[in-house]
Amino acid sequence: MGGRDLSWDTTDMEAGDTVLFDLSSVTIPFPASFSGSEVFSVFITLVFGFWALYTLAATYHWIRYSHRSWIAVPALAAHVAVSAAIASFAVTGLR
Amino acid sequence: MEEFELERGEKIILSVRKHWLVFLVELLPYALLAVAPMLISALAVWAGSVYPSAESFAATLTLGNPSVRLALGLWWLALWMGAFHTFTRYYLEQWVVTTLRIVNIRQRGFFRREVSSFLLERVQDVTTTVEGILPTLFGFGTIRVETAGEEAQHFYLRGIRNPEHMRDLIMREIAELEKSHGLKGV
Repeated sequence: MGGRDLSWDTTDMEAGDTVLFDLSSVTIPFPASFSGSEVFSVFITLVFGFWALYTLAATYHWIRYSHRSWIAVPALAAHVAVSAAIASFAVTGLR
Repeated sequence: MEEFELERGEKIILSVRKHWLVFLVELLPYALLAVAPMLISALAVWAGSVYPSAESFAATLTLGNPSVRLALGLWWLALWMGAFHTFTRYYLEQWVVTTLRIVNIRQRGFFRREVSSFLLERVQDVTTTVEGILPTLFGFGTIRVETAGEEAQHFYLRGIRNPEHMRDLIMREIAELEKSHGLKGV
């Protein structure tokens, strides 16, 4: 993993300045930059994770509290289908 | 029913939910918010025609722009989840009238469900209110039930379909209960 050299240029130091910490020998494992696709992937993963948690909670409530109503399965199926359609619309054209 | 156990001899007489029109009214904000981006886009196009400096920005606000599609899709997904949550709450809430009590089941949100029981023998007053054009035309309203006792309580059943029928049913069950208690006392 690449790191950064944290030593600094001392040419701007003036007389009387004191060096408190010399970090020139310290290397912090920090990426130089995030690529746009990585950020996008993380964001989409978070969105999907939230949607999945919500759907799980909704499914639990429908199964437990709908008293075996016939509408539970079609309602949940409609939710998944509409969500998939919207998600498909959202990512169409992205590269 | 999983929420409460029936007593020996207790039977469920009626189980009702809110009127479907009440549910549609609750969905209305989601529908308006879903359409709002279209209005913003139309406004931007108009602004582009009036102010040339805004024309290039307005030209980017089209469905052909992948970023616009992504933002719109995420917006619609959030609204859809809210609308489905509203439908879930609507369907999982109900009022149950049994031969002994009235049970009010409220789904306040995920993992927050309230079940309240009011004994028929403590019911003192039942009042129905149908107020407004839509409630009158579509036949839904509010039932107010007041219970007797040192700490008199009242609760409301709002958005009930045909509240007069439910009121008559409750009063009939109360009369049956008093009759059966009277016979037992003989």
